[in-house]
Amino acid sequence: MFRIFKDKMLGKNSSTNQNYKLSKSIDKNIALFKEIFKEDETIIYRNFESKSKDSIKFCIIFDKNLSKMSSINDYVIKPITRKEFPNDMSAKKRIELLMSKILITCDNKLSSNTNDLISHILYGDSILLIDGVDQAIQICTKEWHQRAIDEPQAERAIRGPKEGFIESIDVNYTLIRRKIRSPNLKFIFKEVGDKTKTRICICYIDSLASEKVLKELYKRLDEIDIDGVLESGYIEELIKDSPLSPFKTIGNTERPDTVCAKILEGRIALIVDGTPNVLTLPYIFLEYFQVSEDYYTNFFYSSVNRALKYLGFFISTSIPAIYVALTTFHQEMIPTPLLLSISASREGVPFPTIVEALFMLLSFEILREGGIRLPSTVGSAISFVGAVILGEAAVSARFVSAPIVIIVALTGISNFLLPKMLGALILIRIIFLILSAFLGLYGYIFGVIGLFIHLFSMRSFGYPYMLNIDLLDDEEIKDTVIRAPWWLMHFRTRLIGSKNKERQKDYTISRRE
Amino acid sequence: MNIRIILIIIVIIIAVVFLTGCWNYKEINQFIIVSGLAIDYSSVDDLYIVTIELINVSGGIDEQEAMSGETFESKGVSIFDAIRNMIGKAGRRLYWSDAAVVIISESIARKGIISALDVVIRGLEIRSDIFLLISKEDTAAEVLYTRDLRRQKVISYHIEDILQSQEETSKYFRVPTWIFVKNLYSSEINPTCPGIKLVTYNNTTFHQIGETAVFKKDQLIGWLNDENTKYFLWITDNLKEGVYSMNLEYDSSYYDVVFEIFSNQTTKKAQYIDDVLTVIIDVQTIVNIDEVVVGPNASSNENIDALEKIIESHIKKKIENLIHIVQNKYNSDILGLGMTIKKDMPELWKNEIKPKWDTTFPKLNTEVNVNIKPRRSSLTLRTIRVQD
Repeated sequence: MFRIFKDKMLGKNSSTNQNYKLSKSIDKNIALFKEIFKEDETIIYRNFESKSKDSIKFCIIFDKNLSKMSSINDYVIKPITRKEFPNDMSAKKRIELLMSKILITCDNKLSSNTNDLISHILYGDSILLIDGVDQAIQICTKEWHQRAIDEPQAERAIRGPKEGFIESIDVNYTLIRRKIRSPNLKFIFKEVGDKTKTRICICYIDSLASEKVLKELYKRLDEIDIDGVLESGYIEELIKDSPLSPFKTIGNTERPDTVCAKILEGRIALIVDGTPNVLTLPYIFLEYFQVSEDYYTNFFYSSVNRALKYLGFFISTSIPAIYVALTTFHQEMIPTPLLLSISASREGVPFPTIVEALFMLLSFEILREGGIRLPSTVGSAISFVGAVILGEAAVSARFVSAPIVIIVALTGISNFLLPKMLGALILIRIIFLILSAFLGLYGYIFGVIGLFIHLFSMRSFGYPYMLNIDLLDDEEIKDTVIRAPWWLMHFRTRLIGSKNKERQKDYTISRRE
Repeated sequence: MNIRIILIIIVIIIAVVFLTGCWNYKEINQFIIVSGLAIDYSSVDDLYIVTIELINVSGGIDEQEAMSGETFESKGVSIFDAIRNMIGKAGRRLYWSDAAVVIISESIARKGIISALDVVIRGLEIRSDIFLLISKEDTAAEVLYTRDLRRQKVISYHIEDILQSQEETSKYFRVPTWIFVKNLYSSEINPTCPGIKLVTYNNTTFHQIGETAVFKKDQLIGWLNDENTKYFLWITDNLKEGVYSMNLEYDSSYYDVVFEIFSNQTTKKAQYIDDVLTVIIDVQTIVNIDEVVVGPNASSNENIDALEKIIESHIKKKIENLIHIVQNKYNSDILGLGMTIKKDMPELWKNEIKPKWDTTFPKLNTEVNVNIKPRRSSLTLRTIRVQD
């Protein structure tokens, strides 16, 4: 439906890329690049010649802000200008000599594809044009400034590595490679985006990751036809299963240790240049509740934290709905003293309970969204205003009743136990609330049934989304609601790690016992 | 195709919202919570008088003001009529689910309690686990009108609190209405329920629950006094814990012995030997001797054995006395002996005993065995004695 609409809007397919061709004359080639980079002052064309009498003309083209000029000086221009080239040398020999003896940079490549060359210039590489050759040499001279490796703000850990991914794909690559020093760890680079030509990197252990998932991933990535990819969120939305669901079927994280753990379980990571958020797939519902720190701290403590997260999921989705259902339909279910105190606090409040609840939830979301992007000094002012005005003043002005403030506060706090599920939680909460305002607990139960039907019908790259939630196998439960000690988890997760299930040999256990 | 699906969804939503039976949306502050009711009958104008206690929720964050009881009274040809007449006075719709006690006047109970209980059991909103009490005062309304201001401000909930602490005292018991009605239905047991009276002390009036109303079918025929109520609890296996004190004679001097009941198990068994039907009542009680005033050395085993024997025979005598009263004075099987016979020998009960239970019951043989097990003698080994 959308495709038909899109075709109508565009009329005809827009123009394709023009294909330029290099010629043997260096002047023509320079003119060609000057035509391509018209009105671009940052591109430098440096002409120079070799030492001998019948000197050969060279021209190096680079972007002055992206390339490291000193290495161009020292490793390209200087050696060439000091070298004599024999006259009778063929073009092919000349290039060979250049590549093997003269250019002392580490990564050189011969290419005749102009589009490729252009994108390399714009990525900080230099292009060396040689007179009489219809090819050019790409020389790696990239250098630009990037953020230092820092602790990810959204995924802090008390115990565990404090490094996080940054915006450079090459640095992110090193962060992963350094942790898993195995030749089985494969990195496959690709490019997406017509204009941005964003580099992405698919990263997996080939003895663990399933070929089917890889094949499916390649297929979906190849289908992407978009002008630009600025963040991994673009790719996530373009290739995910159940695109209309508020739940993630592809995970993302800023922590290298989390990515490595997932790769070791047989998952595949997708690094996108220009963003610290690395995608992992397949992603199942349980992963919302798993944090890298769970695996580093004591397993009792981790299990308690897991349980708290499940409780948080329940509270965050259901408590407002249950409160509204009980107070407007099923007063019989409230214990007498509580009924009396709710009744006392509702005395004189003008709005129905559902309006109160929606109003308070809305104002909480406004505060949350308002506070996130502000500098921390202003942010504290926002939270102060929120606490005082919404909590205290609204109750004493009889605008809302006190219990609803408690309910909304509890809901809001529980939200942050599952920061990655925030969007889905808000949606579910509002739907449950409206259902139970119409139908009481029946409505709430309908909502719960609907939610579970939705969750159980989803798949992530062929794997059931609710994997390991629906069965009580003593092997599979070890990393679900509880986190078993490491010496007990000797198998990888069902299905995802099925290619090589054994995580550790049995003797570690027998030694323990 | 899409439009059809959307239409179907709309139809389902409309049907679900408007046609379902649970469409009883009501805000919590649109009704008044009733905490208890008392039912009287005025023979002067032949009308029922229903007194209800409402909880006056004066909204406010101030805790002191949170709630207080408020009593209303109205009359009607029937109880339901009287309740309906109440709405005019109370102002809002009444909410019955949290009512805790129903108090019925003795005069209604003597005439037949069904007329008063029907509305409690039949009504949709009143819960059938509401506690039933018979007023020992002239009217039932008096109980709800008397405010014991030192305690809970809502009298009905105060009475409920007293009933809830039954386990600690074991001097009275609580009867939810549904159990009372269940016993009314059955031919093997007659219902009982506790009484409530007002006691004045130091110019303050208290509510006191005690004694047991003995019913024959649906009519009140008399009361068991406080002492007998205890043995009644003993026989019916309702004794949880509590304190038991007794005077006893030992070595020709009197002692006061107080012991704490830890747990009690009473089993009843019916026996039919040589055409004689006997109900055997086995009492097994674990106690802790709490207080012995001028008494034998409680720790020596001999003395404990002697003490045990005396206590056992004492309790046995009292229980037999109670059975005697129930059999001869009231002729009402409130002890559930019929139930025991039915359970142990259903055929005999059905064919021979049930039709003439009224005449058999006073003559029924019973055998009481009391077994007291002192667990320990608390912290001290011997009683405090003044040195000679």
